[in-house]
Amino acid sequence: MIEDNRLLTAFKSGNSAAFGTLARKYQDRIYNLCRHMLADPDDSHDAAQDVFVKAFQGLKDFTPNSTFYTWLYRIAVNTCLDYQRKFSLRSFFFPTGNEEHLNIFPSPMPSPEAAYADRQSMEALAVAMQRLSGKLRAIIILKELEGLSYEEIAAILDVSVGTVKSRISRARVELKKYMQKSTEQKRV
Amino acid sequence: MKCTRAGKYFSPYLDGELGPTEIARFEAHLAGCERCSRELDEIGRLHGLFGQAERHVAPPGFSAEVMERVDSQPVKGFAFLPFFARFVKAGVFLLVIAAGIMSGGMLMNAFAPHQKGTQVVSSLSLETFEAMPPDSMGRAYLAMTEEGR
Repeated sequence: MIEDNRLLTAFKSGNSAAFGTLARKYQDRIYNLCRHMLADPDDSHDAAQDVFVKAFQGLKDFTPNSTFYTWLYRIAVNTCLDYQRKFSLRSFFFPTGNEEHLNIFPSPMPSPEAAYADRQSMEALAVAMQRLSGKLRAIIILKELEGLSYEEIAAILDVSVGTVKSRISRARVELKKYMQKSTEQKRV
Repeated sequence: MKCTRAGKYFSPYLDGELGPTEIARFEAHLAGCERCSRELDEIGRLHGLFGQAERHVAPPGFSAEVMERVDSQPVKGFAFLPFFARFVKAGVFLLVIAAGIMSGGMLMNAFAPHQKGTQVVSSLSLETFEAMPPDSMGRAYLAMTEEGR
């Protein structure tokens, strides 16, 4: 955090290379978030690039009231939600049959049977994730995949901690419900 | 603690967001409630699946591509204008407003009510009408109408 502030100060003094250092530091986290939000690698790449371009242009408005990474995550979540809104209509009219999301959760292989069951569960989870609304998907990714605290998530999404708690609970309940339905459909 | 209340504790408990007192109360409830224990196990299993998710890394050259894009764009923002340019904009704005007020004032003077009233009154004055000459058609007409009475 101290290093981020030092880099931000350098950037505002005219050292644009300082932004490059920030980009390298956070590129994996932002790209990971975009991949799990959007699934498609090309869209995720474009969205992640857009996040950093927006951050570069918006740095003059960044205030020290929040940390740089919570501000960056906020841009990333909003960018991914915009992409989802933009491309949900496209995929409605031009379905690609893209099953990229099924590759998001590879499983370890302790034994063939366990590996199969595990992969089935993970595929069901990946499908269930895509059925969540954008807001619930974002919050579960920030919690489960990025490991952020409730307070950090509340700062990123600009909501109360109570709202974070209730949305995470709701997201997990919905995921469990979708996964159970998916399992029942496969049995039939 | 009732099950309806315990249900709100599942996620914070798994996420390590409960205080010691709340943990004690919640675990005491779990010890005596099979349904809540089973529910917690299912959510815990979901939590465990996420732990196996792939962690994606940005492709090679990602940040270089970012810097190419930002370097090719004009820098937006008020903050990068010369300091004096901020006042030039404000000055031009004030000049336009002043010009508008002055021209509006001149128009108001041209059609001011007291001048209008003076013009109207003068138009109603009989002094503007000259007397009809003796040999004029108007005088002949008046003479006829007076004889008719």
